[in-house]
Amino acid sequence: MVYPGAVAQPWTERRDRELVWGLVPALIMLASLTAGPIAYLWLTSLTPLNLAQPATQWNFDQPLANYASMFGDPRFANSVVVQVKLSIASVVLQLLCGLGVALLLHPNTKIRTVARSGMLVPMVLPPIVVGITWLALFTVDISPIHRLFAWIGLPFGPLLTNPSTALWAVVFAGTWQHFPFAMLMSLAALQMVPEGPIEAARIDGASRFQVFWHVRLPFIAPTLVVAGLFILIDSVKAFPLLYIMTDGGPGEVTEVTNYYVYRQVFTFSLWGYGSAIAVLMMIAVFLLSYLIDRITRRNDGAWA
Amino acid sequence: MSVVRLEGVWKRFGNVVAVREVDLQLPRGGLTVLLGPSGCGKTTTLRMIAGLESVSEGRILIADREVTHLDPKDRNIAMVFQNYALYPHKSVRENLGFGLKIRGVPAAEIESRVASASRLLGLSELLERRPKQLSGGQMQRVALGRAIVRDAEVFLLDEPLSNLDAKLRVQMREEIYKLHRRISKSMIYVTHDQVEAMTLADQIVIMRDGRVQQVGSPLEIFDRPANVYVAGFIGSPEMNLLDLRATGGTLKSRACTVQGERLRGLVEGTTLKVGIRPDHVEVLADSASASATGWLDVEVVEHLGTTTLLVGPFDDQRLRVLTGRASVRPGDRLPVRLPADRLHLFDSGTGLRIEEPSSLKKRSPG
Amino acid sequence: MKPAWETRFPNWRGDLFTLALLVIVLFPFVWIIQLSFRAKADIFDSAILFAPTLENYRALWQGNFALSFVNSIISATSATALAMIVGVPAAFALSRASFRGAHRIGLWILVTRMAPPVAFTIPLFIVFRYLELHDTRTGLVIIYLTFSLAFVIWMMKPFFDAVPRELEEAAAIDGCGTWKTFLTITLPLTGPGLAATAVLCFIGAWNDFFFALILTRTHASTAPVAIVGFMQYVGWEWGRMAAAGTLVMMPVVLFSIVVRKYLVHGLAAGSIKG
Repeated sequence: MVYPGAVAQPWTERRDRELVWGLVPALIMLASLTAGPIAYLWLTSLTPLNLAQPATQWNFDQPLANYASMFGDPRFANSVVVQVKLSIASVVLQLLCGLGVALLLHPNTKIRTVARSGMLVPMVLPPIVVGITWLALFTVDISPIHRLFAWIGLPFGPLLTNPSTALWAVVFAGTWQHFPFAMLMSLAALQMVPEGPIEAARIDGASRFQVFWHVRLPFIAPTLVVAGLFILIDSVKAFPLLYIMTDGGPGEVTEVTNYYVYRQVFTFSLWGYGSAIAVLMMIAVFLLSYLIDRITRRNDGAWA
Repeated sequence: MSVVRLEGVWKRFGNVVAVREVDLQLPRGGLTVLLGPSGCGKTTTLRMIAGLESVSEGRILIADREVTHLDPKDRNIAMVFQNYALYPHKSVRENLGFGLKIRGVPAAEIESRVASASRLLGLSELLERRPKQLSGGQMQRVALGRAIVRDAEVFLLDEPLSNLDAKLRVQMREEIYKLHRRISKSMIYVTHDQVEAMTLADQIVIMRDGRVQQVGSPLEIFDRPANVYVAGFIGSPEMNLLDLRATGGTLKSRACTVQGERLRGLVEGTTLKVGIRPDHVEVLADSASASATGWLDVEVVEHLGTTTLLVGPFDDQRLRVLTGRASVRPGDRLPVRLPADRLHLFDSGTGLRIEEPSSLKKRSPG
Repeated sequence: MKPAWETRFPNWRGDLFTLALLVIVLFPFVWIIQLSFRAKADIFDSAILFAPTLENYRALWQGNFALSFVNSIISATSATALAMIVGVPAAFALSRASFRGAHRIGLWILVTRMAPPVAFTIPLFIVFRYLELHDTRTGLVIIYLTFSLAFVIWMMKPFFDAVPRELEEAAAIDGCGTWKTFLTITLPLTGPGLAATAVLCFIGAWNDFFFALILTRTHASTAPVAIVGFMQYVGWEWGRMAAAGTLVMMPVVLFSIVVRKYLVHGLAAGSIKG
């Protein structure tokens, strides 16, 4: 039988107190590794810190100067635009590919069960390996892709050094790497769609597409939303592929915000300014996490 | 000689009161059943005795020692859980011996106590198996065995049979009955199944909404339900509960009249809840209707084999009547009699049983 | 009447399509591996057949790559071990405790998991300068804990949630204290979850590129960073890059086949960073 509040009150306060001791070391570590640095990051963002000039470290004369200068910084504005392009393209492509492959692999045949595992490979590869693999595949003189297209009479030039294609080439490689995540989430959700409504719809004469559109899709939509949010957050952190494949270039066409911060801090040594942008990124990520938390709380455990 | 005593025990979960002001005395060596529907507070009461829930107010004593704030392990109790809670990664032998091992009992003694308990329960062949390899009945026995090996003062059983299928449940019920007779341990047994309660209990505690409704032996409770709730809860098919008005030494509704010596003392004009068990209603032979209380318009006829259950409007209320085999058909109109000495009278306001005038006590129904 | 083979494989069209798609998806992976076995002269050759050689691997062995590989193993293993030792009891406590704020801690952990690495790197870089943790494995392990600790807690909690409370109550009645119950009853029951968590945590640290790029130079540089080193010569050493890449990804691919079942959950937690 169910007793109210059964979640956690066995032998009660004392046990709770004992449990806290298991949490304390982790909390101390988390605090010193995350909360502490974030606080420090925020302080740094209020200073014009430059490691070559120690006097700048605790200089709070113009605390909001870094934040103000973002508005007049076209390169920052550009990085946001690039970020938005990359994020939207990543979310849309990964969801479409992931869901499409999931629908293909959903039926339980031997080949598809094996394929479900095989498809996961790109996702677990070290990003650096994905980077060099696609860098090679986009390099004209060694890439079999270029050879194939040349052979069928549709040769094309290097994509990564062409400003109008570079970003999309990176998005393509990123989609290859990450689509299995959306696939896994979709597969898990598809498996939980009850058979009843699907059979009822078939008996009512619905076509395959109608069954998908009217029965399956509404059921798995919340999972897709959560998956989309995860992809969005990951796209904000994009780095290794950009570093390997384009280094933010050509020019600044692939310089997303994350990459811009990296440049400002570790190339130009503008620590204060970089920190200010990082603080804004933290806030954005916090809001997205909060959203995920709210959604998953509502559809408890639908995705994990 | 009570082995467990609860004094004014309350349990609150935030604003929800799960158990309110429970006072109980559970006799040593007896099997007490806490009976009630889901959410009545019976499991919470058991868990408070076990020490798994804190007590919001009141005291709990086990063997005359206050244990209200003691840890479960210090209360000298053993518990059988609804889902058995066998340790899945330990063999039957390790499951049985774990409680002793933790308490530092020497290995040789553990060995002998496990051996004798498993002989008692017919588990000797299964000692090396894991819980996964056992049937439901076997798991149930291991759970019982774990309690027996511990030789605790009190055994607490939380709906121990509810995970078994119907047939096995009857079989395990008998085994628990025999086991209790054999080891004569004090047991507290929680269930929502009145048949389990009636067959196993030395003493039944009926609970509802966190309150104790009645405490007594199975037959006491069956024969003299303390209130309307208990009357309706115990017995199958359910007791009829009619609204009748005391008028001139009889009980009346629009078109029926119950007469009887014992109804004389009732306060004129009050409406009573009048209970009568379906098998106590007499169906009269046709037309001998002079002694009839009223007429039953049969709507439903359920042939149960040895008996037949008739249900239908009786005056402006509904009546269930249990007779022997009968060739009654829906639509028939039968004269029935409600014998006055079989009636249970309840106050229609409080629902409490109206105690009878002392002169009539000996003729209590049953 | 359908032919026999069609009744045996009623979904043959879909199966065939699946196979084709799988080949396409896995092509880059297989291609980079075969590249690592090509001699320098064969790399620009389009022939499918070639004489495989271990020349690239031999070159790696003779260079500094071995040290980086060892660095990767040591820092990823240490970070995993530490994160497990600290994180697993914390996950259990969060799963069982009824104290207020447990949910807030959960949200904090989620945010930590999601935060852009650069946000931690900036302050920790400055702190590491003072503590002289630059280019040390210790420094790397510390910074890996920023994500692996949160990951372990996030990943393990549901495994503990799934263990029936009655088992712990039974153990409490049998005489076990809170943490003894955890060690003797709860922990052994989450064995597969522990293994999967450890493996995914290891993969997360192993795959890291960003932190190692910024916080190491030579002594503590990890394998992924070493690969980048090969890009700096004129006429990039594709063969060596492919060989190093193959070495770096092999443990990860093997491990993830082992813990395939738990990938859904683990990846929702984002252990594998992009």
